[in-house]
Amino acid sequence: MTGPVFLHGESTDLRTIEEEDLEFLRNGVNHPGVRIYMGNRAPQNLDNQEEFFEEVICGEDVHLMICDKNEESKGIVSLKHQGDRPDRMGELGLWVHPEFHGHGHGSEASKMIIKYAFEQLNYHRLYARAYESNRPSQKIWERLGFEKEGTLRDHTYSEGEYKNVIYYGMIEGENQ
Amino acid sequence: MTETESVFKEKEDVLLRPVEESDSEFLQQLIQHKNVRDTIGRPPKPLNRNEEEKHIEEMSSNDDAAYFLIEFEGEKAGTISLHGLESEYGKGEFGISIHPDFHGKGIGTESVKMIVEYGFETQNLHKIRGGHLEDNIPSRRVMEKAGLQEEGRERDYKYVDGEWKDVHWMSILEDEYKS
Repeated sequence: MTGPVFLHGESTDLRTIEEEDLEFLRNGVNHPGVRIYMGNRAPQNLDNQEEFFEEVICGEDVHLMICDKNEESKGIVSLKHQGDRPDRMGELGLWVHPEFHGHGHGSEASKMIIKYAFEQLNYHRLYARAYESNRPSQKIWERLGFEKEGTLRDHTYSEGEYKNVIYYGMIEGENQ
Repeated sequence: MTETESVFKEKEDVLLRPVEESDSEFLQQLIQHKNVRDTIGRPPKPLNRNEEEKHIEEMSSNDDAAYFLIEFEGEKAGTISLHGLESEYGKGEFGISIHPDFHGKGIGTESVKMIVEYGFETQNLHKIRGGHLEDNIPSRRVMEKAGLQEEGRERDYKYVDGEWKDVHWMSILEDEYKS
């Protein structure tokens, strides 16, 4: 039983993440095309996913499954509250299973969650991080109008070397 | 035994019964419907089935609140709750959501009438109030038909589609109900 759709898009829907989705999550976060860009270094089994589900997915922040119109899961998108309440600031995160890269689901999902964050949750600022080696991710934020705010040098270690991490930000009123 | 057999109160084709954990999927569909989540008091955050079950569990063990599932002709149509059952001075506040597929059938009106009756006759409250957002006229009509009158407007209550909306509070007192 898939969860209900929370946000409807043109060719992408965002629905709630349910216990039945744990296997999909596990397969995604272990995939080399996903994990090397999210700093996930240890293998994640179903028990790890169960724990993640109970503590994070069922927590206060927003986590949604990215699907196409046939309810096929593609990846997940998250909106995490950062700072204190007066900061009205959220961090966006997302991954799409590499099997489904290049179809625009990541871009559309991001666009939908950004609109939701500004127009329904009244955020003032949103930001996202991307490894400098992850061009597709940077393109999403650039195309959606985020400003490249800074590069943190050697901010993480992945694939045998230190890597820069880029911060992208958008302030309310800048969303087109 | 179906859940409908646990009927608590009924009027016309509308009945109120306890909410069960097995109603969690319906509650997800209801609360996450854009038309519903834009008009209710709680913030528009997605809830998965586990979170919804937890919510049902918390409501059913909360002595200060009564939580009902609304059925119409045997189908799940919405929910209504009454908070403040243990409040000082006996001031209750209700919240209602009807799934948009069931709008326009008078279900809201019957449900609010039943919750008002329940609040005064079973819970012996002194006052019952409900709120509607400024542009939600159908909700206002429902409350008026159940005998509530406006007592005030609270400014910038909820943020919807990029703007703040006021809430209008409506209420009925026990004397008005009994006259």
